[in-house]
Amino acid sequence: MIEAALSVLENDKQRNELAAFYEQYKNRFFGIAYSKLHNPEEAEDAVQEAFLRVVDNPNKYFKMSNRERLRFVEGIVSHVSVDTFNKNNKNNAVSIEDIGDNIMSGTISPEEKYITDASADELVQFVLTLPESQRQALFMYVHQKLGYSEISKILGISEELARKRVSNARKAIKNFAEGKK
Amino acid sequence: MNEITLDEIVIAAHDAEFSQYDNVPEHVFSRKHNRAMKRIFKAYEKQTAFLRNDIIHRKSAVSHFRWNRKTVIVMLMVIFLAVLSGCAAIIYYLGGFKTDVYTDNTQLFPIDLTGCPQSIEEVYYLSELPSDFELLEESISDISVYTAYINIATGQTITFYQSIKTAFAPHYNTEKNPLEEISIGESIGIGFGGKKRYTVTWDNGDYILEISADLPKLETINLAKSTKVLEN
Repeated sequence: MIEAALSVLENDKQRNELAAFYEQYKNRFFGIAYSKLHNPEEAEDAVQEAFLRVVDNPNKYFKMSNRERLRFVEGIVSHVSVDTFNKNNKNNAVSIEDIGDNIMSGTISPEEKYITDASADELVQFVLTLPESQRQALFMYVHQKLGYSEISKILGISEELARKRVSNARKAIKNFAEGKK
Repeated sequence: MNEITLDEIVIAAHDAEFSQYDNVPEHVFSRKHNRAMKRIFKAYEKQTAFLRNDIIHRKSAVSHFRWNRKTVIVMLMVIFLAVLSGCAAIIYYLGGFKTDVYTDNTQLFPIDLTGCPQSIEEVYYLSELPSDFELLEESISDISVYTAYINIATGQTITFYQSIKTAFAPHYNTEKNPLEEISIGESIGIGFGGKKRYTVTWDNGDYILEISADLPKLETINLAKSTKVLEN
């Protein structure tokens, strides 16, 4: 009985936290979605869909700091918006970014270091030229330490595709950094 | 030569990508969206409650204890017996409400008041009112809407009440009919009554809606599911 009562309180607290987080950043999320969809109704739907995915995978979300939660949801909103845009434009064919090369061997570590002549700004600009889907998958894997299974659920893709996107993004960055040596 | 980690690169790229949204203009979200978001947060509460209950079930497996309907009914009976024996109010949560149980009645309070309207902004109606019922009485204020229908031939009545959440704290006579949790579409609520008259009350996210009808339980719940916003 006490456990049940506590769980009600805990649920209520987390629900309020999630609602407050949404209230704080809803315009930002809408802005992200609108910049990709250029349609207010679809942008609102993308924000809803992103939060549905958060609600479906709450464990990771509630372990994150507020800053990381923001990054996490920004990534999902962006991904859902691009996905919606592609679907609207019947661009359902397998993207060139997903075709591929073999998955890079070895474990990918956030501490993986590159010694390069490229400046941090150049590297950042290069990462921003990568397809959105690869960037989000890599960010979730490397920085937010989500597994491929979690990434696949949140991004609505297969586990294999999640693995491929992370691998392709990492390979592109590595090649760019090493090419600048 | 620079030395940089993959993590540093991806964070910097992410923050650079999204920094352009630091000062976005305020967007006026549609009501449809606001309602959907409330449902999502409610869904979270339900889902985690389910997951937690599942964990509690597993922890309790040794004692073969289960939070099923029977258990809840037995607990409610115990609560009522305790109340009948002269205790003061017993408080528990049911169907999205906090309930204060007294010896002969129960007072309800909505739990979730987040972002709820402070006046009637949208009026709900029963889209599937039985054809043999006609309007008997209607009363509209800033905080509530009351409508009563009657079947002239049989004398049966249906009342439909819509209230802002902060003004809703009714006492129900639960001496003979204890409250039970019911589902009304995606919402949960409470119901009580006998075979001939049943009352359903639920929080639809924005308002509290209540239907009391000279109808069986299932028909009253179906009537509740048919509530829609009246378009101007």
